Amino acid sequence: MQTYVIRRLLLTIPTLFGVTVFIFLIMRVLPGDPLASTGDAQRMIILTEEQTAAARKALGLDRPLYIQYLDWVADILKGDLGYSFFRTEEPIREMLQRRAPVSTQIAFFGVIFSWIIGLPVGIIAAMRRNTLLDYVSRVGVTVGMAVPSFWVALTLIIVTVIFFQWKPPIEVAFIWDDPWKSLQQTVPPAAVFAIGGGALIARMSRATLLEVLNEDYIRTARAKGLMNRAVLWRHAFKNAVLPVITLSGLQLAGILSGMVAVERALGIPGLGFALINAIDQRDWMVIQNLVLLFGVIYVFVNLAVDLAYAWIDPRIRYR
Amino acid sequence: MMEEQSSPGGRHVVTAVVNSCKTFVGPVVRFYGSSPPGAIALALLAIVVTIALFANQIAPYDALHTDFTNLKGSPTVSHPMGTDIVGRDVLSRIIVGTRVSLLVAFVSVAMGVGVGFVWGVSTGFIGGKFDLLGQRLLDVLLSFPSLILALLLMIPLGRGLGTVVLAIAVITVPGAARLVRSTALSVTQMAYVDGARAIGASSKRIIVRHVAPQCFAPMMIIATIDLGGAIFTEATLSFLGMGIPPPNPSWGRMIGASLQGMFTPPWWLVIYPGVAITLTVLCFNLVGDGLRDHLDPRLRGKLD
Amino acid sequence: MKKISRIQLTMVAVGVAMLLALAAACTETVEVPGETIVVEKEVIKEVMVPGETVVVKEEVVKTVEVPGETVVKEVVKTVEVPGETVVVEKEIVRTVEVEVPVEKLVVEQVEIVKDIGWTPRAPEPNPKYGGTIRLSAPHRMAHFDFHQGAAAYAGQTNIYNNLVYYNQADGLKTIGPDLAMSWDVADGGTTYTFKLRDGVTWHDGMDFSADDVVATFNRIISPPEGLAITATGLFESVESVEATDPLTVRFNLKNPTPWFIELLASDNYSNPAVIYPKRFMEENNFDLREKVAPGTGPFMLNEIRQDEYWDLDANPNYFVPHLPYADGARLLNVIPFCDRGTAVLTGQADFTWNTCGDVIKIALERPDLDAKYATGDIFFMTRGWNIEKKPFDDVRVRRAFHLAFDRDVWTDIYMAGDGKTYPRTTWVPYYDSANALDRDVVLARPGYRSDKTEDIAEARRLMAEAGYADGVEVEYVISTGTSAAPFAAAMQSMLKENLNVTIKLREVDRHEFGEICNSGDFTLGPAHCGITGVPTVDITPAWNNKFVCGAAGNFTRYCNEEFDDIVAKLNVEQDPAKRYDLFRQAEDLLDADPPILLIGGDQVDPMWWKYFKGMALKEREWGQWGRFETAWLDR
Repeated sequence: MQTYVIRRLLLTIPTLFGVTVFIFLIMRVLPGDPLASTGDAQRMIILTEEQTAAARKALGLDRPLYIQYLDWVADILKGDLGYSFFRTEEPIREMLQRRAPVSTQIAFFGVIFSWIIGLPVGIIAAMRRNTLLDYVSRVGVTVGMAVPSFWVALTLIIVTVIFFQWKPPIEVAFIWDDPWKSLQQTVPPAAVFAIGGGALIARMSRATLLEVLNEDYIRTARAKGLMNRAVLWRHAFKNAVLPVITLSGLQLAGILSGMVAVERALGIPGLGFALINAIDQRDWMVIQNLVLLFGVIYVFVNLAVDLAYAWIDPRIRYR
Repeated sequence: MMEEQSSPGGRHVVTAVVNSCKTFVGPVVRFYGSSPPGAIALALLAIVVTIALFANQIAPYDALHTDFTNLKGSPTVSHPMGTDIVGRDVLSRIIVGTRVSLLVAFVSVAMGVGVGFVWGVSTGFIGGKFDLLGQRLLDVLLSFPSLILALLLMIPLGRGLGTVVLAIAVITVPGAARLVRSTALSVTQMAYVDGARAIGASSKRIIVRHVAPQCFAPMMIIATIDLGGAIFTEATLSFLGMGIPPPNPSWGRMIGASLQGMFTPPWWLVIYPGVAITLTVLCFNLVGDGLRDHLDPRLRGKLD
Repeated sequence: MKKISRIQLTMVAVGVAMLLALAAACTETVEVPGETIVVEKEVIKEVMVPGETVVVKEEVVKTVEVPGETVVKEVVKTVEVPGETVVVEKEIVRTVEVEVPVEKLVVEQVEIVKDIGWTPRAPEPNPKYGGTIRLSAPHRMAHFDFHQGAAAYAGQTNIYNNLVYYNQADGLKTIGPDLAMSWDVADGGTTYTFKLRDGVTWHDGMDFSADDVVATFNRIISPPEGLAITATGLFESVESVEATDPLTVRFNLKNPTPWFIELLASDNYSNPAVIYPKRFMEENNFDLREKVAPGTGPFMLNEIRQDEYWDLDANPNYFVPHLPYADGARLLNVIPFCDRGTAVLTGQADFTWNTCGDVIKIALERPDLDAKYATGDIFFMTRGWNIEKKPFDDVRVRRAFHLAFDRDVWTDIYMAGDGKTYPRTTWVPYYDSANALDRDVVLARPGYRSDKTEDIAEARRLMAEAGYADGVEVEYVISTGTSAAPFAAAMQSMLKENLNVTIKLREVDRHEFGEICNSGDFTLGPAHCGITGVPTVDITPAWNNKFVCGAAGNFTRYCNEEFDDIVAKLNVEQDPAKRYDLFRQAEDLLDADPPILLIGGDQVDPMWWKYFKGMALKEREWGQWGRFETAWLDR
């Protein structure tokens, strides 16, 4: 196990390196000028070539690419994520730190809610296999996995605004400052994510439970005369649920993916909304660092999933 | 195939059609045997594809025609799904939107899975440093949540049908490549490949005759599932205003337009495109599941 | 319309006699434009105003009957007697439904105040102190320098002051002192001398003086190397700015500029004439893009959370001691149009400057919310076209587009069915009541009228004459994002139907507009290539920048010598009657040879909770997204 963990950890280093290079290349080498945002379309401010050159110089964009790249990576390692182009009032790092709790909370609640919804549905469906209950839950699961989360979010917000004059707070609220406001901000998107996530959990827990129920040792346990419920809890459940736990990684991936559109639909000031705002404003430095953040989180989620798999299934360690 | 009926030599064509029907019917019946929901979804998909192919004939109105006397009209007999803020028929736009969604999905998945297939087979078969490099590259692509990667690619590429296809193709590559590679790897280690090598078959022949065909089934499965994902990604990108440019109707954009422009978008502007996305993705998911059961009997029953 | 009684007639006669008498006494009177108006009543009043200045107030009330409703037009002019200058203030056109026209008329308190006796305050008696005012508005700023083009969308100018400023309490009908206590105009309108307030301090504790004003305007008039100041063109007529003593600033103008005071009072999002501290500018190389400069204004910057909010604290040392009433302000960043209103509706904000009609309708139905539908906005709806490209190189094509464009339909889409209430305007904007034609006159003009049959027939004839009888394909540049697309679709259908013109869309990023308009890489382009916001109520500065041959903002490549002559006259003409005539000439000329595709005027629809007071938003005739120091919360 130890060697596997070390090997797997070492593997993330080239991956992270590749991620930084990939982002940097996309942002700098492909067409599209990071300076596009400094003019103002509404006011028709057009920079002269000298002004553009001066601005490029001020931002360090006239240096060779590899130096820019090394500079960027060095800054990140120091924890300095820079500033938006001309706005130095709020460092990017502060903005991300401020918004991260909101998104983290959404993701966390999303996973929890998925379990709360998905697990019972999966277990009941497996126990009552091929009954009406099973069919209904399977239809629900299939639909739940296909429904776009941003659409659900939009429908939800329209309903709450029209009927209850309510929508999630548009300013960041921290759970330790104002728990009630913070919950209002994070529970609705988490509930939206729980539809897809819950469906995934229900489907997988049902499948693994059925598989386990067919295993020999369960049959043996039953043959020994153990009560049905005891068999379920002591043997089947434990063995069925552990693999499903690793699904939370997959789910987190889904939430990270869906976060941009759902936060946009609900107007929640999280990292996803920050990304779409940055893209709208061509805020190159914010995009670059935010995408990197998403990448790094995702790499570590994958790492955690792999390690969890290895812990649960010893075969993987020796592959 | 069916639209060729009007060509001369009708009888010959009819025979051909009957024959082609026969060749189609057999697998479909067998598919129904192994996965009834998948087969039903396949039938639904056939309808969706037909709608996409004949969108302009089926749509009751021109999807771009604006009726200025009927802005934001609620659903009626003549406009079953209402009209949008410039008086375009929502039903017609959804029907024509089918074409855009499916076009993007099929082309991008074909490209992405195609590249992934070649990548997977070659890295799996050749192995060694080449494989290692290929794997690390895949790791990089797999280090982003798929939609973030698509958004990142859309920034420099700019909006457009072609760029959306390209971005979705790129995010499709790694999953397909990884799956195909693992199959190729196990096939390469099988005895009959060793046998082929022993009798002096060239690498090219081994790949084409032995390895690639074995990887075909997993490729088909992942392609079908990716089709649903591609429709979803296209809808999300368009919703965020980063996808298909107007005036082509796109489901995601129809939802996004109602968000941007108007508060209390009339419900029909939001609900119907969402239903269209859900149904299509649902069908692709079901067909994908069914196909997996059908083509890979080891998995049968496991994920029903 | 009611029959005019004998008594009323007598009153009118007396009124007219008094008016004539007064007119003779005054150095100058102003003609009322438009002859189709039926005069019903004219009132002349003398009003004493606090301070030393006597203001003679003359009020002319006229009513016009249109089928279905009574439109009352009030034209209020003020003429100041003492002193040698005669300044004509704003005129107000309001559309009011009146049952008994004469009795219900409100006498407007319109005055030009050049005296320190006037201080900004809330219109209501006994305003409450305290609370944080929450505004929902978009604030997308690439940087923080307002003079280099940062858009002051969301009340960020609360940090600063102008030299002179619009009165918030009367719905922006007056320009009064701000950092200047009073001003004098001399030398035939070419010298403006401002007396500044004493004892004003910047938020960083430094003293304010005339040097700051001079430095601010010198940066605008002759920008340092490498800076692109947007207002440079607007202040072109300023020869020099000098501080004659620490509290006096003199502007020497090359030629009289009728809208000069208006320019200095401006606080619309595109050209706030705020005063920046000299020392801070020098410390930052005259480039204020990176840091928010300290101001003298009613609120001080506390913190900025990018894309989230600006948090402002009340300035305890503000030079108007009783202002601001609130302890602070929070400028919430809400970008989508309707979401600004839902932020108010859901109780997250106290007010918004502008939101969409759907939410306004909800607000008007509720007892605790209020809104003002159709406040004018110094903003145009237009599209640019490239006159160097086919088919717009042919004046007949442009005229055909101008005639065939269905403005009713467009505003209907814009207003989700309420297009009939929407401002209809010619080239002289509708809110400029001194110079614009009346709405009903505009609605009778070819191209602007609702009945399009004749106009379209004429347009088709013109197209055929130009050789496009079988139609033509035109590329149309629009912005990405979801909001532009429906309008583009409407444009496509309309032009296809009316002129058989096929519009091909080209979607580009908003940020590319500047480059596209400047380089001429468009055939039919976005409003940015035409006209959007204009700096002053008087349209002449915008024409100078947009339509004059070779002007910096002339993206359509329009060139008409005859028009340039008229603009040259308008630039110096101070006589209102002559200006009015020049505007009529220009209007006819532009209708015949349109430089851009003119769609109409724009409006803003503010919405607020009823407890939000002190801003007289209901009284506003045009919108300004500026300061709100007189706002207070009644709860």
